Amino acid sequence: MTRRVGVGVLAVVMVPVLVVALLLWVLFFGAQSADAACSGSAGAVDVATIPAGARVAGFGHEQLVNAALIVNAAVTLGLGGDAGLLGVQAAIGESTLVNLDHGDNAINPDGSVADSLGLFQQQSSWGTVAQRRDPKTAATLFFKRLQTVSGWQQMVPTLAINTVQGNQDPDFYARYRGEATAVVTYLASLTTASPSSSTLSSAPTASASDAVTGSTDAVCGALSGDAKTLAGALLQQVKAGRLTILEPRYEQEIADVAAGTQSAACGLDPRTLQIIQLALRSFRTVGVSDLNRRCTGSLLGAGSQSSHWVNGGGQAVDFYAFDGTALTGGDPASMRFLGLLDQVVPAGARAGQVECRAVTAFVHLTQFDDTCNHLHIDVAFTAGAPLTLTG
Amino acid sequence: MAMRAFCRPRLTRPVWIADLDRYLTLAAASAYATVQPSRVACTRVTATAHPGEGDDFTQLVTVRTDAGLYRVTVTRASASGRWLVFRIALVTAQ
Repeated sequence: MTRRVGVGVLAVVMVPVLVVALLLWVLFFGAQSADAACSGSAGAVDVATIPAGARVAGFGHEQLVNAALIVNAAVTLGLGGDAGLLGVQAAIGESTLVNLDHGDNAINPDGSVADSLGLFQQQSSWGTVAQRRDPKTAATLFFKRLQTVSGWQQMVPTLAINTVQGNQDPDFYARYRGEATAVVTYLASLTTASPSSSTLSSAPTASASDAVTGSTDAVCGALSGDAKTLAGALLQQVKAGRLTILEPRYEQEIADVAAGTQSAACGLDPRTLQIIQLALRSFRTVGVSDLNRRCTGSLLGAGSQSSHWVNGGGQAVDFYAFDGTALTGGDPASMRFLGLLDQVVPAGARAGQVECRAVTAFVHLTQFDDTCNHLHIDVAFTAGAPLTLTG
Repeated sequence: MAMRAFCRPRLTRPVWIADLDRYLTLAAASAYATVQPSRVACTRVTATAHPGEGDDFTQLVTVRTDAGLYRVTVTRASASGRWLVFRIALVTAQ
């Protein structure tokens, strides 16, 4: 890092600066639509139908019963499946769906110890001990506050939850979306048919038969988090003519990861492969021009400072075409894909080409200057867990 | 500074976000408007901020506070643009 960068960074942390006024462009896709489409339908769950040995996304019977009571509280209030899913997502974050009789001993600003209780870790200002320890009542308290938030259905899920919970990290609940979706989808299956098994297995792997829907539903459906599995699926798409890797050396990177024979400098982050897979779910054909430049020794662009190079080099991808049309980063296909991607990538994932499109404020993606002849995506400065998408 | 503005849990939400807002990206301003300041763990910065990994457009800065270590993600859209805070995350509680 250069001294210039270091001083500038410290300046923003230590010294007041003016914010440039930006126009917020409301994404055509909406923030909630795809997530909502991925979850099960709303309906009361008969907790007696949850098998004693049930296990979903790591949660056992007691936790699934609590999730069902949360969903039922939403139904009782006349709220849709979106709300039930948010409630379960919040409770996973607060209590892992365990009806806790204690809090985390956090200290309130007045010096008192937080007296949080229950599934939602509500303090005494929310209600009596009995109310906060009763799952359905606690959930009702959560939903009644959610109902007072204007436009909560259109908000990014973690922010909708945080308008109620007020966590110091507004993105805190995002990491629990995949688990919550798996749980709510399982519970919904109980209301429509007897499950064939008391155990919902981990997410199936992505396959070459993934449908191309061309809608926000495209982000639904389980997606493997394993690089080798993902790379294998992508190779099949190459053979099928749906995925074109512009240079053979980058196609070889995928082949090596699929075979498990890649060298230390030639790895590909599972998230990079997942992002390509998501593009294939959204478009009939996808063109990729750049992957791991550290592997190829390419010093294009920012050279060894490039997100195609740092951290081992496999955390960035450049797309050059969707559906046979060249990308600028601001064209309709790029905008559509960015809207989808923003819903599933971790906060701080990046898109290039900021100057190539109308001013757009994404929730999770940050943006930077890059040439307008491709669409750059990277996850170089985010936590390393694979994206979690469950159907 | 952004972290000094962040570590003020005794303020009301409107006052807290009004002061913090000037350091935030547009997306972060919307996100942090949902925070209840009383749930902010830190009350003061205890050491100078240290830039960590990053490039011309994203830097991860660590800031030590009385509640532990926070990682502040700052971004800018161009190499000559202003750095703005995108995320403040407690990584190591005290």
